[in-house]
Amino acid sequence: MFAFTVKRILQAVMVMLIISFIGFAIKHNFGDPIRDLVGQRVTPAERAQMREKLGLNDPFMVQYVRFLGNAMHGDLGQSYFFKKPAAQVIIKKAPATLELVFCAAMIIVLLSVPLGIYAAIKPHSWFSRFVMGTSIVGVSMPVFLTAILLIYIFSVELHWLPSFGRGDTVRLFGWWDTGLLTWDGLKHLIMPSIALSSIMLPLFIRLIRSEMMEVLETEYVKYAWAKGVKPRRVWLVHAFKNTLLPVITVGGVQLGIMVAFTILTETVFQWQGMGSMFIESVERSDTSLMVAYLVFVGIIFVMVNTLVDIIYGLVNPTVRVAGRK
Amino acid sequence: MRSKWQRFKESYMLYNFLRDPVALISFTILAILFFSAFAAPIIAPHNPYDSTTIDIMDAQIPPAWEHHGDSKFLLGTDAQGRDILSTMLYGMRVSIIIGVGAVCLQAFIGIVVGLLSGYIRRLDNILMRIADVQLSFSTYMVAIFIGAIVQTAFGVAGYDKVAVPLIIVIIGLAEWPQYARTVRASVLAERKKEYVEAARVIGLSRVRIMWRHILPNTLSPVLVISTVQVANAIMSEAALSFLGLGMPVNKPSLGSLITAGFEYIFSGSWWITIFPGILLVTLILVINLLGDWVRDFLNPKLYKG
Amino acid sequence: MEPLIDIKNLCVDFELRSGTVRAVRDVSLTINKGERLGIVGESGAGKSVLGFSLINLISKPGKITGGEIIFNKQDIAKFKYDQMRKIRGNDISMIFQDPMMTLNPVLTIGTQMKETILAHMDVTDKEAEAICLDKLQKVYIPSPEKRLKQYPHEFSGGMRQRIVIAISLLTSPQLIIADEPTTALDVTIQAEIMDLLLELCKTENMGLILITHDLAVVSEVTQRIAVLYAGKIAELGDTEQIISNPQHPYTQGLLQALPQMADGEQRLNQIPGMMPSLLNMPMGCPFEPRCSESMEKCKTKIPTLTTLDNGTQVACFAREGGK
Repeated sequence: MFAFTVKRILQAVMVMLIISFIGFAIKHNFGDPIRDLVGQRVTPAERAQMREKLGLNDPFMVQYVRFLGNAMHGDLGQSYFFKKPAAQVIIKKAPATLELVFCAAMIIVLLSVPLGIYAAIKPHSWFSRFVMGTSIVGVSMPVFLTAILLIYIFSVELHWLPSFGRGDTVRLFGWWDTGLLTWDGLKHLIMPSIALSSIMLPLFIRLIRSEMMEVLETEYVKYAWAKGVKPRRVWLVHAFKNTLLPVITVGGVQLGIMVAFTILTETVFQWQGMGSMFIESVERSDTSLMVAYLVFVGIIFVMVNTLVDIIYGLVNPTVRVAGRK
Repeated sequence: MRSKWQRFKESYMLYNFLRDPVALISFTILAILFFSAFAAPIIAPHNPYDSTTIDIMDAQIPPAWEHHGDSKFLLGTDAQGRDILSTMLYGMRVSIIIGVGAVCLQAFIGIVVGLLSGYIRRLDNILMRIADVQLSFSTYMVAIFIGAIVQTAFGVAGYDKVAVPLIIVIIGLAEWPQYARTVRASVLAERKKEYVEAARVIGLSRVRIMWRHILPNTLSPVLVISTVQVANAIMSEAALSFLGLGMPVNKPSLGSLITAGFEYIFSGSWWITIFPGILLVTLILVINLLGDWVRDFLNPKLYKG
Repeated sequence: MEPLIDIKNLCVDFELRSGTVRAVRDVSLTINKGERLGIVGESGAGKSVLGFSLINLISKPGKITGGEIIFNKQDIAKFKYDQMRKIRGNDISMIFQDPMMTLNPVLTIGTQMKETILAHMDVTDKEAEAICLDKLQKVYIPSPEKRLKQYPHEFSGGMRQRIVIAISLLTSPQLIIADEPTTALDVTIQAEIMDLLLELCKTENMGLILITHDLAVVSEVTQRIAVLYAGKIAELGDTEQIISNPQHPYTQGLLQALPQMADGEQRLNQIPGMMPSLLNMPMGCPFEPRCSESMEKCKTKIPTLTTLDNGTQVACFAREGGK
């Protein structure tokens, strides 16, 4: 188990290096650190001076290593637009995105598991067919379209829910602005979370259903029936635990798609999170912020993927032993 | 010897296809959509890109059946006075071209990488590492990043002339890992089979074995993912356009039409965004349904209920 | 003496897209308490389907479409799900073919054993565990307490099958159905497992239905044999009689096909042809196309079981004279 974990962590570090390299290459070629620090109105002489001072004439690899070093200390450059360190901007915006992702994940987990299991056990019931039918429509609707539709129905026509922003937030621990503790904040969270989960939910329902159906055909499930074990136990203990394994693996990968979708969702709902920040930084050619986002997202991915791998190793006893040897 | 067409007509695949109502309806709808899209210059009631025919006084007219509607503009007009129906048809054409083009590109790259990876052990590690990293970020993310980089690097000037090929390249580069992995898995499985050993014993070169023997056997899984990938590509393009990284406003795809129309929802002109939206969903939906049928047909044990 | 299980005219059909396949045709058998019966036949003859039909666990789209299965004075073929569940793993236990596939890889042995007990008997967890340990000892598995916490992949094939046998003993069943229990094991382990099964049946006084294609195994373990061909019983009688003096042309062919120790070289004997596809059964006796003694009658009429002088029952027109 230990060797397994170490290997995973090493892989994670390697991936981070690649990402930081790409990020730095972007920054180096398209960014303008001098403009980021002091704006546009500098004379050429001052520019040349600053270049020297900042070490911008050094060879590429030297600058890269310097970049890495800075990054370790949390310095990812200065955002041109916000006139603040990029890392600071991201950390301020992160809670908004993370809460959104959390709510969407809750919806997905709480709905896909029971619906998927039911659709696997009774595939021909009208309810199952209905669920599968809506699933395929859900998968065919781009996230932003779902968002727009939700806004149109619930905000413009029915006036039930607000259509933009986060609503009232409460500050926790001195920096985390949460919308989960106010009624207004929760109202603002409803539609974006639903929109964000709209593609992943049907995906998971279909995945759980098809995996579970496969598991239900295995010899060991048949044997469990032959032993006279009660149906509920066969479904939830024997079948489901085995279904969980591939679902965990896929789930980890889906996280990537989820992050991409936060960019879209936040843009529609004008949600002040990292996603909309990224798009704005592209429009404003704020390379420091762009790269900072890239690195931050990279860290999240790598962490989550490594965590998922380790969790998988814990849940699946066969893998555990292999790692032990 | 029966001709290929005759064999097709009698084939099990056609038999199955004609008996599955979902597949049939989806195919018909898709055919209609494809036809309308590519016949757009002929059948669209107006040409939305000819500035001489557009009158700003026609802006934001609701669909013909509504109160202030005008039968000249069946589904209403947008903020510049362009006919929605016509823009939708032209837009669908762009979406389809990009979707199919991107899939061709990713299939090409993916198949080449997959073949090399499966056959040459040394390249396998590197290529699959790259594919894994790309996949773990999700192809949407990669497409958005590449789009963002392109946007930053080249700015928006001169963009619209190269927009379509550019987006095809972006999506193609983002999505090849899926094909590469599928092909690689097939190659690895085929390599173990005896006919490959037999070919090597005869003395055929590696390239020839790859091309004439292994490749045809990997085409089945490639076909299965291709339909879904077209739907994916169209969605990716819509997402890119929505974020402003895709098609420019004067040569829009369905995605950018939806984006452009979004703000008008609040002032009541819902048709500008909703109709292109419905069309986009329908298009993606029928492709997905057909893709499901293809997959169920070629891999019955894996996915059947 | 009342039989333990009495199968009367059992029919099992599979509804396929291409038609209805009758996998078990009009089979009648009885097994007495503590008796060991072997069901022998080629792959596809319907042996496993017959075994599974006794606990109504036939894979879809199969169904029992005719006949009765009388067990404990009731027709369990007509039982509803809940009634059947109480019998499965309780009065009638089953042993599957491949122990690697039979045991759930993500659950411990202890869990898989205890749940069988807890599904049928009203006992505490501790009591259930004691029963598990007792049965594990009966199958000669060392350090049973440790084993309960381990997972299936930590055992060898032979050990796994012993565990499966132990599971089948947990509820002290009256009948064990063993479906090819040694096919997936090494030859050396096969003998051990069969010896163990034989010993347990004797000491626990359980009935055994041994489904296999291996005539050698059947001759050592069983008291009676039923030879199945294309879903019908071709021959039914005492093991000794059938092995030394087979009557049905098919059984004779099977026994001749066994490689013999001989001086010099000899060709292996084969029964020419193949078993007919169950979708396309011939009108008369199913074995007729391959039979060296076939007569005109055989092509159009289906023979039924008739009892010969020595007690064996045969379904063959060519033997009907031997009364």
